[in-house]
Amino acid sequence: MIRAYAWLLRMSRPDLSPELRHEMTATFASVLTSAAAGGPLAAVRTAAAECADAALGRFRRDPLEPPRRPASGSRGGGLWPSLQDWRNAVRRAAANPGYAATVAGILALAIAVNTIVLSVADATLFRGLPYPNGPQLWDVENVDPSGKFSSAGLAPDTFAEWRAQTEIFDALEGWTYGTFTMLGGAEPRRINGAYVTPGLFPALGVEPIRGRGFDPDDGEPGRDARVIISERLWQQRFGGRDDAVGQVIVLDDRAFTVVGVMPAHFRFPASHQLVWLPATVHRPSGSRLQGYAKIKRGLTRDAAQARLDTLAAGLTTAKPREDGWRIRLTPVRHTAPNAAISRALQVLTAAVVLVLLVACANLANLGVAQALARRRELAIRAAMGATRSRLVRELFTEHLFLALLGGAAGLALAVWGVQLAIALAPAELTVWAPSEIRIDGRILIFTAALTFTSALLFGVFPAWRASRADAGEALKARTSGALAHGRLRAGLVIVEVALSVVLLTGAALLIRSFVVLVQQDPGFDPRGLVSVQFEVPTDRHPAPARRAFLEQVAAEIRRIPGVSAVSIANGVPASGGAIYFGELEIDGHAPEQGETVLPAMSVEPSYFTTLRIPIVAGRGIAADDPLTSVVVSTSLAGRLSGSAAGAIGTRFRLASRGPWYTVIGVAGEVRQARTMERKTLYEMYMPIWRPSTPPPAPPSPARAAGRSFVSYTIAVRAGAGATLAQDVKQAIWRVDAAQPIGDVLPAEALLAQSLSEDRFAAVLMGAFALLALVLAAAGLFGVLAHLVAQRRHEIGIRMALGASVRDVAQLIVGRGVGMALAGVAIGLAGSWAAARFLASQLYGVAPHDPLSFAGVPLVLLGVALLASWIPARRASTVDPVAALRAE
Amino acid sequence: MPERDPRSFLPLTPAVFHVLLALAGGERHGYGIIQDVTAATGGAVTLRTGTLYTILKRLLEESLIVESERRPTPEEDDERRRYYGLTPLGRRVAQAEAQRLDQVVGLARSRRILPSKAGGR
Repeated sequence: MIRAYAWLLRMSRPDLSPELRHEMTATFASVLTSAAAGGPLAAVRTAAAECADAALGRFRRDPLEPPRRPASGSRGGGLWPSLQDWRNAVRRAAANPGYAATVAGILALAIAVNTIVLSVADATLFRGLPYPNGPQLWDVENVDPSGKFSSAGLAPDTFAEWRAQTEIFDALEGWTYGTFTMLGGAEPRRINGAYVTPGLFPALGVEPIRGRGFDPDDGEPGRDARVIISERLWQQRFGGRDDAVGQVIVLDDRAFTVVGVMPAHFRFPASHQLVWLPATVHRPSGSRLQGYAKIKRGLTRDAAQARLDTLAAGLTTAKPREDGWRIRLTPVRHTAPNAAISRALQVLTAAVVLVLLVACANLANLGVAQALARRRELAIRAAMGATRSRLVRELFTEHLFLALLGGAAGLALAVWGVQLAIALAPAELTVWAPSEIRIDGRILIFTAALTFTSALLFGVFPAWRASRADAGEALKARTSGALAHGRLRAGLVIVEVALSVVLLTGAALLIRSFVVLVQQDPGFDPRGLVSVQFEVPTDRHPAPARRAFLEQVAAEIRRIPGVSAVSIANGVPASGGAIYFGELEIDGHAPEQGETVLPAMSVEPSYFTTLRIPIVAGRGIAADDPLTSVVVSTSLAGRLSGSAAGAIGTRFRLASRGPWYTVIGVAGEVRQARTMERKTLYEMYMPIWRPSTPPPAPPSPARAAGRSFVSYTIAVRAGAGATLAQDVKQAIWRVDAAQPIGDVLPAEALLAQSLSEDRFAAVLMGAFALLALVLAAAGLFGVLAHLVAQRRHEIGIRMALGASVRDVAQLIVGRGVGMALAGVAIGLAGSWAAARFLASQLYGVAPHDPLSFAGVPLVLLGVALLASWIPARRASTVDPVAALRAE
Repeated sequence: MPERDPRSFLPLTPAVFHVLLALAGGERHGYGIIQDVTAATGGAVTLRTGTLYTILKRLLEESLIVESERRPTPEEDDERRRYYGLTPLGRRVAQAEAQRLDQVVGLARSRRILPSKAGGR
């Protein structure tokens, strides 16, 4: 204790001589000894008080300086505000409500907007698996020999071989998606689920809240009719009753016994998974399993990877099918379903950080302006004996009060806003978040810390300077010193304008892209068109009979009053269909290098008339056409032969082993959103029926349960405004009561849905840009208004010497436009660089779209003029006589 | 060197005044001062070591006190301890503060904040 005290003194009192510190330590020892006589508690209390007193060090007032403010009611020294300071802060805020509301409002908005967007992005993009064992798990990726290509998921036999490497892995578990028809509710229902290896849930570290997990041999023949259900399904189907375990649910016409219920927060792999079935790796089911590996305890990731690489050779010789492929362990990152969505979120994240920076610059600007306005007051008070710490503490308290006010409002806004964001955001953006999207504490703290710091730093620092300034000088010279502040403020405004330009340009590009998408001719007539989507189980309706089933369904629908045309296909524009890809080979030419993406639709002859898609050359599909007779879109015809008419009769194929297709007709362009990039309008239409053979298989992954589904869409044209959904469902159920029906949606809704991500991104970007613009304009206005107030005297002289109102207004507006121009120049350069980042989000608009890049500066200059207008007017109404007399 | 006007030090902080009063009773070492102040004020004022030595350092600098050459008897002596005593200036400063307070107290009496003294001076 004594030694600790000696050390404390050495740290806190370097101003005292070693002998004196020595003596103090001895005195402390005596004090402590006598205090110890009063019991251990008294000793501790004394020691604490003594140490605190020593730690105060030199930061106490000079004991011989008479106290300057005996009536102030607060102790000198420390920075921590007293109750009196808080009262003053509230009083000051009330006296200057405009400033207080602006600072608190900016803080609240910045904190809320940032927290919301970053929380959503973080939950969806950046967070790892939200399970207890998540940090110990590695993603298992299948990599080709060159290391360039990887495929998610391992073929079941490969999976089993890797799994046998028990000296490398403690566990290797896998899963794959599954969709099922569930009977027993009000109507048959298609639900999402997943097949999981029995050890997966224990490996993740998640336990069922009711019942048990899978047994190790669940999934083997005879032991595979078991299911674990989600908490949501448990509530829906069993009302959350305990006896749900042991009950039976029917999936795909098979009875499954419920063995467990997973907790509500468990979303695996996404929030819409309702059931999990046992998968086994021993039984080849055809579908690949995505793997999670737990590396053997004591083995590093690199060591494990090295061993895997050595093993790869030995394993792969036995498996020529995946020759040379090896597996790679990568950190588990819950990936968004596609690159477009994660890109969109990244763009929004970047945008919101820019908004945060604009807000910080604005707060700084406000703080400096405020301190400038108080410069005289502060200088006078300093001259009259207020200590610097007193003044600093006062401004600190005031800004801390405003920051807390804004922070509380921001937090409330964020809590409410996150719910709103989840409701408004396209499902694609949120359903994949592996854990519930909610406000992330770290993000809230980060945002609050940044904004608080800028508010406090710039609120307080000028007070520090002002209190040092010589009072006489501060009172006399109005511009000295303020000049440096002026430069700082101008710099901040330029930064604000530049960041706003970047945001505005981004918003302009996204909005223009969205407008192009909306205005684009869809190529078919969506009015009165309804799309009925459903999946037909192949075992219930096997191939030859399926056609009869579907035609019967179509006939039933045709009988509904108001229906004028019905056509069976495997999709309608913006929904369904298949996507083929491969190296395009046109008959008579060498195969092209690189992959061509070719969306394909299987249709009945009546498809074109039902959807009102024009045939521009050749003919449509006839009932007896072979599967290889195709109708192509105009753009694809152009690609194949240069013209629509010339394309008729052209033969082409995808990949050297594929069938040759013959073009029999050319159809008008149809907008479709099925390819993520939307760069291509290619479309190929092929016959859906061929006598005595099954229809071309749209993507229909074989199920482990031995059952598969084929997706069909029936396009129904009815009078505008007819509400068909229930009639259509009844018509289908009259043919097969067990047939689950997916969406029955107007084509217009489908089109809107296909644009929902674009709309969301455009609206958010627009809102951010607008926010930044308002902040920048406010900053500009503030600086100019202050400039006018400061130079009133000078303006008066100018006017007395004959300057016209116009000259004076020009002076002020010129200054504002000058700052705006500087900001615009920097901002445009930044936008030019940032636009590439946006390129993948744009449709029909070049990243360096001249209209956006020319329009944004004009908008900003317009706003700058507006923001300069009021200060300029104020300047021009200066009465020279009054201004000069005031001096 | 012309001596500083004792009144320029006024008003003293309570802690400084108590240190001067303690030394007015004779030379003391640091711990002695602490004990004396505690005893004289009935425990109402407790000087802490850090505070005390900050005061002592300033009082030395302003020549209100000096380090004493006097040492106690060898068996009582702790060689780490120095003794401090009042200078004539220090004594006058303490007197000036006492008079100032006396006037304040007198004022309080005349305004009946305090009861007037029973006996005369």
